[in-house]
Amino acid sequence: MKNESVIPEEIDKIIHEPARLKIILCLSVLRDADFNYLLYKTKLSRGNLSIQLQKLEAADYIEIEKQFINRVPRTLASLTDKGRKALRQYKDAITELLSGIDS
Amino acid sequence: MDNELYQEKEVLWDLHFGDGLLWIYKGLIFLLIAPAVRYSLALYLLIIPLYLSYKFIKKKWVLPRRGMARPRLITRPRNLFFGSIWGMIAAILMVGGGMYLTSIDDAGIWWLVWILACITLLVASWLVTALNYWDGKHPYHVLERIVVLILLSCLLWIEPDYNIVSLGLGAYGLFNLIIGLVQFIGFIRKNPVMLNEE
Repeated sequence: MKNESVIPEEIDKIIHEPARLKIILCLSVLRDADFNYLLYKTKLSRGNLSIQLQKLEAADYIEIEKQFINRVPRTLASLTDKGRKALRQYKDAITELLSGIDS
Repeated sequence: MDNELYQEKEVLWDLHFGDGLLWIYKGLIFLLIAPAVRYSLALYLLIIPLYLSYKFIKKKWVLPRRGMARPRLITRPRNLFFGSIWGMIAAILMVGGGMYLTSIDDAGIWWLVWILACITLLVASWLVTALNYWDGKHPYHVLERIVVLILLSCLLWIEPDYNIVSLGLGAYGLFNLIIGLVQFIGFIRKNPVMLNEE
């Protein structure tokens, strides 16, 4: 059984993936952060972080800005309004989903 | 997932105090107060190279290890304005008052007023910092409370004069400097320099 099939429809699968959830949660409390800060905070590998950022950007959940400072490239990421709204909806959906569980 | 990494308060605390630099420079500035009051206000010009060195160390040692991020909720301009006014008044009161009082032989009750103003500033900054940034785990805020309480209680049973007050300010400065250095060394050891982006 594929993992996706057990996730209810109302759960946003883009945010639900743990690596992307780490990134989006981190960005939710920041105005923006560069690639290295996200590495420092999420402890993901460079390759994984890069891929997950691309996926979040493709979904319009984050905005990526490329800069050059002293010829050194720097990637700045920030959460978009759509991303913030999606995170809020995800939180509501997951809370609703787990509310029926007897712990 | 380590939930605390994503709490706004934790992130802000980490951004401001995680590297310990602010404590180091806070300590250095407090160590400057007493000699500046006694000898020359010009000593306060050292704040300029201190600020530049702070920026330099941040750029050279901290950012390559941690990257850069800006908090979403920064101090509002309204608070920043009142904060700046409060800071300026406090600085003028502390330094100007101290200089004036050392220039006259019989300052009388005004020494006490000056000391109380300095204590008010220390306690206010102490409380505001504790309330804004306390993560409940780092020993700084607990230790700082203890140090400040010890210093304040000393003033109750030792007759306060210039030397006693400057000793207190120096002790507080030294405390910040030591805690900051410990935090900074820990930060450097724990976080290796990261590669530049390709």
